[in-house]
Amino acid sequence: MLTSRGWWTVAVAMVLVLLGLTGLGDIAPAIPILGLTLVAWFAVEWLVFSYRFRNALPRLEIEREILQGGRPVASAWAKAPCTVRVTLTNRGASRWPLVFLRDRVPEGRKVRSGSNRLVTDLKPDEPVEMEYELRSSAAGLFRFEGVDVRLIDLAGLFYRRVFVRSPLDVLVLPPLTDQEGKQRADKRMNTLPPPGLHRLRRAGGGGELLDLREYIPGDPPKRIAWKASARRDKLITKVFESDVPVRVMLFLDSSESVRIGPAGDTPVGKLAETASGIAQAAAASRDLVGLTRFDETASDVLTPARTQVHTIRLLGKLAEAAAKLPNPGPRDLLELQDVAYPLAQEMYPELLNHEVNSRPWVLYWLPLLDTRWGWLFVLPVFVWFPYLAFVGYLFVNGIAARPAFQTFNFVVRLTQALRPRFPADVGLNLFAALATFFLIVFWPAALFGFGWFFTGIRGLLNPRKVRMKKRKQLATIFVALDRDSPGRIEHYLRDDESYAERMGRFLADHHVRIPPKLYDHLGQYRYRCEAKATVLANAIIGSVARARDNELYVILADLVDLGDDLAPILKAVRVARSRHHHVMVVIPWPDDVPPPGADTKADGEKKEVRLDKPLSHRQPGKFIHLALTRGYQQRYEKLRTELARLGAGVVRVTLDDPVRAVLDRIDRLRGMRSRR
Amino acid sequence: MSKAKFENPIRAYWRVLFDERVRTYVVVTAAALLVIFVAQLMSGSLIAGAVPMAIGLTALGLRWVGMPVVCVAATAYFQAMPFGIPIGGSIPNDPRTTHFRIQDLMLATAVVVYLIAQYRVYSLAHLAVPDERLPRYRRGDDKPDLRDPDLITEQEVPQLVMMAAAVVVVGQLLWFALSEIVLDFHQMPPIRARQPGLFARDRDALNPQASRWLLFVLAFGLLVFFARLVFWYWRLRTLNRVEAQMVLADTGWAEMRREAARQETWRAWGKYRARRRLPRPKPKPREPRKPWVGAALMRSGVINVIAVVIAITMVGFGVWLFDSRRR
Repeated sequence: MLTSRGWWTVAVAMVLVLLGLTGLGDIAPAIPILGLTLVAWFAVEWLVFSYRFRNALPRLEIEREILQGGRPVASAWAKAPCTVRVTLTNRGASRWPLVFLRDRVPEGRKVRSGSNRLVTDLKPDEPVEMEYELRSSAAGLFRFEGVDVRLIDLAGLFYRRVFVRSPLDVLVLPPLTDQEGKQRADKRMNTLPPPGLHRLRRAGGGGELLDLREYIPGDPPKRIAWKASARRDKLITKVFESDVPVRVMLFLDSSESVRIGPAGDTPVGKLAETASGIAQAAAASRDLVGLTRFDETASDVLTPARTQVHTIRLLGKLAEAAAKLPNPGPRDLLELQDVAYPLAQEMYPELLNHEVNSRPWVLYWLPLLDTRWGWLFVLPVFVWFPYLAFVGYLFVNGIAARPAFQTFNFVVRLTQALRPRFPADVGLNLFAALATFFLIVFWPAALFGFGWFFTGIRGLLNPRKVRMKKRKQLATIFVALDRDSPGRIEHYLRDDESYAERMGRFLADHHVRIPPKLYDHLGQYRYRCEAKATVLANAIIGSVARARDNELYVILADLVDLGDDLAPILKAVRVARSRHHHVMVVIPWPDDVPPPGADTKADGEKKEVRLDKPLSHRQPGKFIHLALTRGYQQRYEKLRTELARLGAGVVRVTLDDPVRAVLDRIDRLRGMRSRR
Repeated sequence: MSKAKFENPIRAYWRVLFDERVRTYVVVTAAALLVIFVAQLMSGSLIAGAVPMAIGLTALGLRWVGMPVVCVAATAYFQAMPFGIPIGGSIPNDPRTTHFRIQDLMLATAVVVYLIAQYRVYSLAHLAVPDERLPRYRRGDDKPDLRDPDLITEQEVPQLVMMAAAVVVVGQLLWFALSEIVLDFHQMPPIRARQPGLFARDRDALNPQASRWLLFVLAFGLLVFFARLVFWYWRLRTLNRVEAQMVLADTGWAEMRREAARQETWRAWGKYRARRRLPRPKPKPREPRKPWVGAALMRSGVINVIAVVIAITMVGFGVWLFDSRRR
């Protein structure tokens, strides 16, 4: 690929040569000599550059290491610096004298320190390294795609860009809580059962006395209450409380409604972080923790356990949930293409080359019958033969002679009127006769040709041509990536829906977020996800069916917008409560919505917008914002009231409401029966 | 993170020029310009040496990136016309008795060295890699991609001079070959050596100018063709999996495009029809339209159409009347 510098140089050299080889070379031989020398130099540079490029390109190797705490890791922790080390090795025999490398950082992440760029020369078998630091504020995923390599000769005449792909997904686990964070709450009771055990007011093998009853043969003698037996003059046995582990079941919402937001700052990320804190604190107290992830279609369960491996697995599941991207929904084709094509240009430059991804001009030609009015041009062709028969009949019977002569006369006069100086000679008459003949006999073909040409030529004009070019290139890339049949290319070219769906998948595969459309064409919120209520209710009832003792269900979900669709969840919560399980709901609270009851008037704000006052034309934005805020708060209050009526507490996740407070509430919900 | 301080591009360029690692290239560029000046001066004209040198100095000092090729073009121009525009005079002829002249060697070497060195200076101080972004995405304070001066090796300048000398020898040999070989289509193979003597005329052969022109075009075309062929085949040998898949898919598409297009058009049409037959959601009741708007539009449209028809008829009648009166 020639740079503009290269184009100008070769152009001047060729002009000198071609001029010099004519007679000018005899007058001034220095000109062709100069031109030939420059052409020779250019050819040598081109050959060397092409050889180096072709020789080393297939032998480039990338190695990527993710380091945390100085050690290579398979998954990173959020809120901790994470070092990315990329090593590029040229296994070819030739040296690349000047290379610009850029490691593509995950979408939406910024390099904290170090650099993901490097300018170097690539010598055979001498690896070069890039090292930089990333940091994620929340759980999710780091998607590394590969390294962008730009190769250029020292004079800057030739240039090539390739993308060495080495995709790697690194899960970013929720942050590890420190020793302080693991403390559940303040100590409130002085009873100290062993860690992981909690009293249950049922007969069991615990240490606390529950009741006394008459001796039944077979009871262990050590449980006989001798003093009570002496008082009543019959054998009395002590019945102890049951010491059971408490199972905490987390229900994490990973539906579309909680995936919306910038990378690393989504509601599901906050919920995952809260869930992680709860899980780690519970695990530190040797409680069993399980996880149920659900969305609007399905749920999956991780059964409660207390091992460290289980906790890590649980954190991985949380990170996977936090990494999910929202479905942007039915988007305009061009909007998606405007995002997908630059991505393909960046990551698949060699696949956009016309040698492997051709763009013949017939691709752009618009077929006549693809238009709605194309039939108007084709229809006369169908009636051509009957028409010819009719004209023949007229001529044979002498009816058409006069109109034909009049047409001929009209053509002659028209020609003369348009060009008065046109000499009325034999040529004009011949032209008029031919034109008349063609007009009478071949006008359907002429009309068809006219329509065919002017319909088709529109496809070769911009912006239609550029759009079609991009579409063809992307379609072929999709087919190659999917190993699909070649016919699929034409399918993508013709079927807008399939093409848009595949583009969406292409963007999702590379973790590119598209700003979703929150409202549909009817003005309704598209991400209510009412179907998740049924899925969540089924998951709760399933957990109740599998439960052994009193369990704690923590539902981390966005339920505020569900409104009347909340009924299945309320029913499931009622079932859980009837089985003496505790239920708690954690809601992700938007950052820009003040908590209910808080003073909405900011310090710097002079005028307060009131909903009960008539709308001022100068404050529609504030008015809408306030209306939405109030609506959200009211829905939240309603949800809290309904759940409180069933005995389930509701907690908001906000920036100033950490896991510690949530755990405190969980402990209180346990009825102060725990060891703290 | 604080934003990097924006530096004036010309100042940054000059800062790099004064870098001791880059200075070698600056000196080589200036020296080459000096040699060009001297070589041009040998033709007996001061202006022939001064103009290319001045252009070259602006390219080096003021970072005018288009100037190096202008400098080369100016050098060639003053070779043909050493005194500038030949007003009232004739173009001086420069008959040679030999194809190898020290002045030509010097000039060609200096020009090649100048171009290489000047372009390398640009890579170090101005821009090494073309910016692929569309102009609307570029910002004034973007840092250009430059070559790191630390990457300059000690062998670079000697290699540069050696390569320049080699290509100058190749250029001279090419000129010699093109001058001494003529095309003669009366024999097979249709090339032969030119007859000796300065004014010797080759009977039956093509004239020397056309002959060397054709020879160069043929030789250059063949060289490019074979080089492209070799690299094309090499590229096919080193395709990766996705590229090979692309080639197959694209070839298959080109072969079956017409049939597939027909099928897919009908399929898309079927989908469209099926979707149209689905029950549509009830639209929200709208406010009743004001009946007079449509009526007004309709009436004005009809009036306009009638007016256009009348205008066309009147123009046609006028043309006919004018035509009939003239006759």
